[in-house]
Amino acid sequence: MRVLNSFKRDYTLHLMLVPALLLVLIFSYYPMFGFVIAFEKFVAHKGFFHSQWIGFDNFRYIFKMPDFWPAFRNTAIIAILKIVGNLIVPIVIALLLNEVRQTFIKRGVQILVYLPHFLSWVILAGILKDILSPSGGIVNELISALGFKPIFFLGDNHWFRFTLIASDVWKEFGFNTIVYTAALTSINPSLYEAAVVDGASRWKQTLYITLPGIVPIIILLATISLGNVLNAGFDQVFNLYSPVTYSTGDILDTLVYRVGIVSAQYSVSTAIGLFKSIISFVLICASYGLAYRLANYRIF
Amino acid sequence: MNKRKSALVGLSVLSSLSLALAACGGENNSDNGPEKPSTAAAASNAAGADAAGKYDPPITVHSIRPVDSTVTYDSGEDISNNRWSEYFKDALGIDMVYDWTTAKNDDYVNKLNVIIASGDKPADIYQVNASQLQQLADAGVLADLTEAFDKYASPLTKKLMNGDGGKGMSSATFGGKLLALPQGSATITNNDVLWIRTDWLKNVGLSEPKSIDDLVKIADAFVNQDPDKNGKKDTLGLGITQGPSPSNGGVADLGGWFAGFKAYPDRWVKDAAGQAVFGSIQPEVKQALAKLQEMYKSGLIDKEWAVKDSDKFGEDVLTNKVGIWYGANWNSMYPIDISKNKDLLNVKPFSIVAVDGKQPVMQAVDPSVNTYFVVSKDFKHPEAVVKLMTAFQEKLWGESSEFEKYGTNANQSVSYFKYPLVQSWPATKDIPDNLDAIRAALSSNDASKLNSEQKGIYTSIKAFNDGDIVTGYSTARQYDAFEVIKKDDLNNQLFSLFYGAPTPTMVEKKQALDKLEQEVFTKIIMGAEPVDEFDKFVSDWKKLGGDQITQEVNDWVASHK
Repeated sequence: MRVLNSFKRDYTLHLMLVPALLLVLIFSYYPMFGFVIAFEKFVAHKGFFHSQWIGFDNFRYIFKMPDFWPAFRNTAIIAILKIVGNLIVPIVIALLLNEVRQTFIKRGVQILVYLPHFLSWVILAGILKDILSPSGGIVNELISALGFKPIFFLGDNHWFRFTLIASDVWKEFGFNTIVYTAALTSINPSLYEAAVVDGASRWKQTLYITLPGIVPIIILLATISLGNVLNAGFDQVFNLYSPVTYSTGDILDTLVYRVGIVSAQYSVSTAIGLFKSIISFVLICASYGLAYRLANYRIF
Repeated sequence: MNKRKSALVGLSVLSSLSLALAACGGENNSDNGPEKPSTAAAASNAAGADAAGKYDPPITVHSIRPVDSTVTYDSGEDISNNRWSEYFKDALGIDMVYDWTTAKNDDYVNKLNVIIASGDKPADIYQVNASQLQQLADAGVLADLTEAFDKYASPLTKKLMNGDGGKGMSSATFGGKLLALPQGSATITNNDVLWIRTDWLKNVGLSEPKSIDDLVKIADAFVNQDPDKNGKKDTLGLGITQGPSPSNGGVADLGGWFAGFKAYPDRWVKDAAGQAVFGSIQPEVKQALAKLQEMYKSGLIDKEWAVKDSDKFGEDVLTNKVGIWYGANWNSMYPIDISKNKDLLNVKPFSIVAVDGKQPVMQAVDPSVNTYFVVSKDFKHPEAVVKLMTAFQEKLWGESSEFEKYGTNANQSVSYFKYPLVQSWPATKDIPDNLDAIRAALSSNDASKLNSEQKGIYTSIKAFNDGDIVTGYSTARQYDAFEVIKKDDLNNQLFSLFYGAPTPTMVEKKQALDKLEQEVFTKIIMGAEPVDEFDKFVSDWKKLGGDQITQEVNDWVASHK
């Protein structure tokens, strides 16, 4: 009854939710039926309902594909390191910014580090190719000036993953920095006053007040990003990799692209995509459970 | 350039693939369910028997097509209303209606793939690529054009459509039925030439190369002897773009280089026993790669070539960094852009060279057709596509041709010939037909015998000879390249044995094999792997489906003799 009453009271709010709900249903749930072709020998002109049902044959096929496991490994390595980088860097920057007194410097830096987030990888890839070039790129000019040999970041398998991760962290850390900075402002200032009275230094204040204050947010963001363990970033990798770096840079998404779009094997590419989605789904469930336990975060 | 394009397409398609498939699946049974009885045969007889016969009342043909940015118009015209659409209406009684168009060819292919995947009927008459043609032929949704072609194609069209020895028409024939009209083009114009900066040659005191050794010497001099005389060591050797593209017809590809070792990667060639074998796994390729590795190690190839696409390579050309590369005849228009750097005037095309120093060097030509025009089975007038083709060829090269009205305008800035969807080009148009006619006109100073297309070219080359570099350079140098190709290749062509639609195993395995090939070739050239890695590549290639593909190709070749 209580539910019904509150529904009656708030029905205008629920009404406003309807368009969004419809969009989610149409664009997120309805297309999921397309996954059925992962279990079919999908032939275009026969359609969904008349293509031959082959069960898990497509999955057996992809697990035997020579490109699949290397791509899987690359995806996991790149994605996990990106998650770690995107967790630590923003925290450090947010803590440092927190110590800055002048608001206009603080704001300015925040905006500046946030800007790359809005650039597309197509553009950034062009820029990166120039500034990372081993002959005349600004980064390698610096490295040479310091007396080291130039590094071919985009053409050397030892460096390629590092380049992907570093450039991704550089592009995205501004966003999380803003989240942490917001969390920092919610810490009760009287705690700091008490600490000063007790003679705590800035470092001790950071260690015993600031960090514990944002731990729930850190845990929350960390666990939620677990769902991205198999998202290594198609647009970044696709624009930066080349045959030299296939062995360290080829990820599941680029494999899906080549199998599904380039050679039109819809069933196989859907099977790869579905496999990826299932793992991500399991991880998201796990991370939700963790978030609930560790940070008391819940949706339902 | 291409890669970037497909990146965008890839992104959007990746995110919407399952969506689109699902969405289309829903409509599956709406209007294209079980096959309707075909009324085609009955209708075609009613529609007048000769090629020029006009439909009365006029018919409407629904079509779809890519319209890229190279399609330009005189004012007042657009893709639906132009001189060609008027002509088709007046002379043939055919009203072409485009249900949708895309701005890029890649988008068109992907969109059509999705429509085919959904089982919908794309249009009445539309263009497809080889693998789409195969799919549609298997699905049995295409009209049989055999009779229509016999009956309605003019003698000129019959001659031009078979100008490649009937290869194109045969690739469009399935089980004795002609299911598509191939878009013919001249395959010989795909051949590579060597583009070299002659001012640099002069500066380092060398002459044009006669062998691979000469070429290496030139590359060495271009790197080490400051060919641009600016006092800095800032120039590169032999230009290659990422991939690498091992076949000819591109920008800074390796087709010409491989041909110099009698190696023909990505083509199907005959082995000693007369069987079709894949060019990429032959021992000659290994030698060619070994030489490239040697050059790379001694700095005669850009260290960064593996990450440079043709746009990036073009920047190197425009900024005087590179002065020698293999490429197609149109490299004088792209990557060279004479309006941005007048010094590129000195880039000239030369014959490609061989490791044994013998010339001319034979290149492998891929005779496969990339574009076909098909008619849906339930369209009542399948002969309309033949009529459109006949009209196109008649108006451009027939007795009643009006090239200046239907081909291009006087200074070649607007190409009217791009407006009709259904078109096919004579195999000998550029080489030798136009080339010979224009050379004769230039030496006699008499342009009166030229057709209007040739007149435009004649004017450009004349302008170039009179010192108007910016107007004339691209065409003049392109015709220099044609001259080189004619001299070297006209009677000296090796055709790839396979030119059909992808075989079943190719559909399944080819992308993985292509990736393997690119990876191994790239790594060997860059010295990341020893040359002997090639042997492992050969056995991997065979194991991962290559043997099966070879078998299928041989079956195909046997059935297309």
